[in-house]
Amino acid sequence: MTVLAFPLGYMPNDLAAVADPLRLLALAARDGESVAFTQLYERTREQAWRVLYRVVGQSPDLEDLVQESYIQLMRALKTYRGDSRVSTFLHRVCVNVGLMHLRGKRRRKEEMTDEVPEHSTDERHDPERAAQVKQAAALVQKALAQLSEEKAAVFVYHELLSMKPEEIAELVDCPVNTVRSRLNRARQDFTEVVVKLKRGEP
Amino acid sequence: MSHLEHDTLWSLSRSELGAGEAQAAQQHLAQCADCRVSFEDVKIAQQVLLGLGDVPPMPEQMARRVGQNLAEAADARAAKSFTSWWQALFTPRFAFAAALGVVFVVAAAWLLATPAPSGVEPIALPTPAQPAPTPSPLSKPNTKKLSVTVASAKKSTANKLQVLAEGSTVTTQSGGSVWMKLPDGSRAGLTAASEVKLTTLEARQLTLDLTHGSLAMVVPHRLDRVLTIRAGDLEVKDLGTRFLVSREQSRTLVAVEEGKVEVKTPSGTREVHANHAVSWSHGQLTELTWEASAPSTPAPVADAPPPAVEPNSIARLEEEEDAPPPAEEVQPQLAPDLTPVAADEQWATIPQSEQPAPQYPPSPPKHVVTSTEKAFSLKGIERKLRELGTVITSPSQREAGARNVALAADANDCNHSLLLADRWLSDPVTNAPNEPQMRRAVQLQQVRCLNHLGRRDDASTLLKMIEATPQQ
Repeated sequence: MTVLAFPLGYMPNDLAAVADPLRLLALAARDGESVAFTQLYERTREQAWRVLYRVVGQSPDLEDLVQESYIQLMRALKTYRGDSRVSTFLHRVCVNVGLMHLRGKRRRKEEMTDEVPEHSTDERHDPERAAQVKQAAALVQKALAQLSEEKAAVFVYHELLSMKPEEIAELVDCPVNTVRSRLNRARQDFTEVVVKLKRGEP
Repeated sequence: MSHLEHDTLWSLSRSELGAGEAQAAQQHLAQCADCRVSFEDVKIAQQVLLGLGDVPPMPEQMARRVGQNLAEAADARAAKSFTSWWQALFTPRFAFAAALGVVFVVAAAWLLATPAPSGVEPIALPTPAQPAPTPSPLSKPNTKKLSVTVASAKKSTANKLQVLAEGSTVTTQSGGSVWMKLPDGSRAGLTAASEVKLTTLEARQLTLDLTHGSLAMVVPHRLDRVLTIRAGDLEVKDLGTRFLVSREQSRTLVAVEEGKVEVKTPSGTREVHANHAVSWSHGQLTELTWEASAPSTPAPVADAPPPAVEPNSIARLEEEEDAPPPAEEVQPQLAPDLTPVAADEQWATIPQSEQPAPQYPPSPPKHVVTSTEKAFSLKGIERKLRELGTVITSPSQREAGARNVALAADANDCNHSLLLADRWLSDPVTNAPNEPQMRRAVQLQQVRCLNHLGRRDDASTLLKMIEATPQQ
């Protein structure tokens, strides 16, 4: 029997991982197959949308941000070896793109979005509830824009995307205990900023 | 009076504390005005988070617009990468490199054409280089980057003293085993039915990828280089001196006979000390006790010359046969501790009194630890692994077939990959436990190849069929 050298990521022990369609699509997209990248987008777009919506709220920039996230994913896939989950890559990229957007807004001293939401669910029929959601989203975004990059990322993963510290540790590539302490400090800063904003303090 | 931690307030507000903790916190709040203020602030922050509402689905029109833009961007990128190789010809950097190459070729031709001094034979133009029995430090070794297969100890298809370049793959079949000498003086023993790829062989970094089977390492710990064994999810870093990495379909075992290693899993990094082992299976790390196969003696530090005589980026298969197993082999005693190790717990901590005495000092590069590798017999290791339930067999014909489909697809030889996939799928179904996964993997490679060949309708139909099949 001929035993061939097997590239990393295609080992027989990883057949279950090989069977992950996202992983195969990501590998094919990395190798320049544009159809694979389009299929990858189709299968993951709701995931990316959910992350970005949570971070930036009902913003008219959402469409651009989704597109920007996938363009960055396309670049990041160049270094993808097939040994980590595609959703990990995508989450990281989307959270970074969302937070960068919030920071940019803060720098430009723009008002948080006042546009009529293009897309909403039940809030559309309940103006009072819609106003509450909008106010909460604006507060969260302003607070996130004031947190440090590391704290904001961990806070988003845990509090907005309901990820466990173990999953976050994989995403940010640091020990679980570091994630926990970073989360604690992020909550403290977030509380401080939100309370100040609520009281109308600068 | 110390105040309540912010985490405690956060958990109290969400009713995540235990009854006792919650009661204690409430009592503290009743007495501490500062903490009451902080608690109210926490409640405000949490109300804001609760007020965010649900996330609506992505509007279809927006999704379509983004999809179209991304498809255009992906096509443009593919076209760019296709044309970039010849565009590169016109860059000043390439022109400079080409000019430099021409100068070198002319200089080499001139040197070869120059008559040799009297009494010395003219230099012959390339002849098939034979591997020298004893390599000279000055001569360039005949490195080989292809796979080397060791069929059995007596009937080896590999030349002894074979020189292996970075990127080589060494495979042993059932009954074969081999020791390799790495550029830093370390020795790597591959047991039967195993495969390892020598991914990086640099002065300061050595990386071996264990595809399957078992790899025994005898390593002088050196601070000036990093030696890593990768086995699937696991990364094992040498901290000296004798250890074993065994990779099976369902688990990966790291056993340390002497010294300690650092094991990196997706959930964290741990140290494993002598006479301990860890088993990584289904995302959980379990600690085991590992009985060393022979009593080890403290490794003396010899003033051996540094292994600089070995050129970097090569390894050698060793001439000597595998060391015989020790006469009185201790029965392995593996006592599994069935409780999974929590990710943040410090485990494998030996009580202070039982900690093995350090057997090697942090050695400077020129000092090499002479280890007791003779007692670290590959046959002994195989016996031990068999007693632990490891099945030492080469990958089946079926698995090799599935791998070849993926390899052909990787090489963009899509027509060949489709042919192999058709053959594989038309072969009788086996009872192998991973048969459904293999089938799915082969079919997904078909989808990939069909897409690559522009047969998108076929790919889409097949993909739907795969998705309709329940995963096992």
